[in-house]
Amino acid sequence: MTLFSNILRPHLILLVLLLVPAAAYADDDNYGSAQALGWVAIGAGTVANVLFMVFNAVKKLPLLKIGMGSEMPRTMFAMYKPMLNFHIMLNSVGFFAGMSHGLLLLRGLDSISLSLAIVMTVSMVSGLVLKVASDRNSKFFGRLVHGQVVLSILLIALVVLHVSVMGADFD
Amino acid sequence: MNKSSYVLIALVALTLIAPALAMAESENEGSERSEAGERESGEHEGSAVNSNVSNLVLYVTLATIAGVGVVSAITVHKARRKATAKKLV
Repeated sequence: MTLFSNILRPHLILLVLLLVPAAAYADDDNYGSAQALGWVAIGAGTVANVLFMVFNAVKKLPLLKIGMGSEMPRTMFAMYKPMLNFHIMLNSVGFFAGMSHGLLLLRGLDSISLSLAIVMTVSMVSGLVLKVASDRNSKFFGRLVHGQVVLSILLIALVVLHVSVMGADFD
Repeated sequence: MNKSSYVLIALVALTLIAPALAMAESENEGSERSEAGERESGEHEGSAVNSNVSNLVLYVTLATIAGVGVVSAITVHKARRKATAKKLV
């Protein structure tokens, strides 16, 4: 029971979440479902990252602005771990949904889609390095790469480009 | 190494394999289509310009990722050197 609650349960939840893209694909219209996977990826990524960024911005607010006697900083500190897990899980769902979408619609692969897949992979791998690595230097390197503003801007720009180019191609 | 690490390593492996699979598959598709494409050449005049632009996007992406990697590595190296120098003093 302890083994289940400590080790298996979080991973089972993660595995169930990873199956969400497959559920989206289980439809009669294959092209529409594969396209829906892309929207699942965009939606999951937007929710996961916007919420996490807002949470971090609020957490960093000076105590004077919140109010010195406020319970907020303690609550925020307690909520950090669940928020981080939510960020990891939802981004994993988005990543695998995006990759499945790419593999299913491989015929339409162009350089922009490939660039998007590469940037998503770099972000995912740096996040995993940040989570898994025990070595201080690797962790620091992972944090630097994962938190790069340039990479985030590039990802947003590529998503917008991908949606506009593919939308124009298939209309 | 505990069990959770094994699961995470499996996830890393999956993550690394996915783009490689996509690339391999696209090469196969590309070679199949190239024969058919030769027959249709000249039909799409603007496609060459579009392909140049999207190739440029790919090069910019690769250059940015390489730049981010190099800058991060230099920052880590500098921090490590500073820490070593502090230890010696």
